[in-house]
Amino acid sequence: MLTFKTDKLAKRFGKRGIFRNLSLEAQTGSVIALTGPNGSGKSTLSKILMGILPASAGSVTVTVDGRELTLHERMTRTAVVTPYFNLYEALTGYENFEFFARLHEKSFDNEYAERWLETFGLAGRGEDALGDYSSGMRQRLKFAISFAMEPDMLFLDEPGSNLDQSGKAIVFAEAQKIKEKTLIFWATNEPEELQYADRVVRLV
Amino acid sequence: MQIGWCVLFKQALAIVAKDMRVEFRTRYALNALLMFALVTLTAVSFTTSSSSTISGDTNLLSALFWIVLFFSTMTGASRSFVAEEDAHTAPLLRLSAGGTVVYWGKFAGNLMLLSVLGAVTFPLYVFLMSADVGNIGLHIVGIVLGTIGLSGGATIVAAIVAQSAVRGALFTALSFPVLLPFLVLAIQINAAAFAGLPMVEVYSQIMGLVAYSGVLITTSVLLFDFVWR
Repeated sequence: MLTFKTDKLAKRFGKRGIFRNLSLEAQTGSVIALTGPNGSGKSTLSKILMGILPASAGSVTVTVDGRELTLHERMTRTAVVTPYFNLYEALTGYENFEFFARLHEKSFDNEYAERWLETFGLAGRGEDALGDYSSGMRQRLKFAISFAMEPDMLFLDEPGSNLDQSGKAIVFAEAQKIKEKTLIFWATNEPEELQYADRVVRLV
Repeated sequence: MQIGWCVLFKQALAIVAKDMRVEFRTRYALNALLMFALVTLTAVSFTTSSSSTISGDTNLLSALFWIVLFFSTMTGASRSFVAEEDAHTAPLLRLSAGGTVVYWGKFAGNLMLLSVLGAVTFPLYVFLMSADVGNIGLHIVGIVLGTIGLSGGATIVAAIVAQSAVRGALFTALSFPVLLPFLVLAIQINAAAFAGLPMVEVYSQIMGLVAYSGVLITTSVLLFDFVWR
């Protein structure tokens, strides 16, 4: 059982305070939605929770069965999908898959990758270079790779962006499937996406 | 950040393989390195072809060779990080691999690129300058150690400048003081090699190059997490 805890988290950029005193505890099996108006700090908070941006004050601790994880352990157990982070254009779908699988210490073969590509509506496109994908297909590939890594923590920043209705439906359905074994953070402003969350953190 | 050697090796290898694949398809860094080397070599050889003093002056021969290598490195080696930042792939890499892994992966990639550069440039330089090779073994020692040092220094500086706005100018400006000791020692080693001297004559320079590389690479590994995060 993974437990994620923040204690009096705060972030400032110069004199401008983004948020403060944010304390939160969540376990595997939860979907936490982060919402708020534009500029309220959803993406900033996501980055702090992921471990790639330091907080101005407070702490983030992740424990598994009572043992605190190191930053490296946290990262290898985390997957992220956001429209702002890109995969490698010069590589094919399979090669992107293989690269992140190797970094996440997961075994990889094209058959396994193809199953996930098929799930996200990209069957038969694994050999194509990412440069030939549309923006929606790239977003689907990010989901396929992230879900295939079987992460303990999954951060989805604006998960519906660049996706058509069928893409969104696949993402929500797959998220429900992995929810039991995963803690999901979901940064969004879409009311239809908020309804999938167990808890909503509203930033102002 | 604590990870096992085996995991570190496998993940660094994944980064090198990815970078080589991307480089093989785009050929951006390799083309930039080799074109710069070729242009400067040709310019130097045309300018000095009538001068018999150049090919006879081993210090000048060695200095010109390392100037070509240094500035060729400056044109291509920063791409390892700049490309990741420009393409917005760096954040996912940050999330998926620790700083130590990324440093070793990028260092190995730069080392491979600079090894190709050294292997192509040296014979071409000797041919175009009509220089006597002298002690070829010592040349190899100088170029190999110098390339390791250049790669180690260029990797950490490239990671620093990748997050700034004026990367090109900053990369050379920051690299110069870091890499100057390498250049001086490497120039002395290759000058001795052009003169046909035995290795023992420049033993202290070789040890100096090994020690400086060791210190620079170790410091870079220790500091890289702060630069990369």
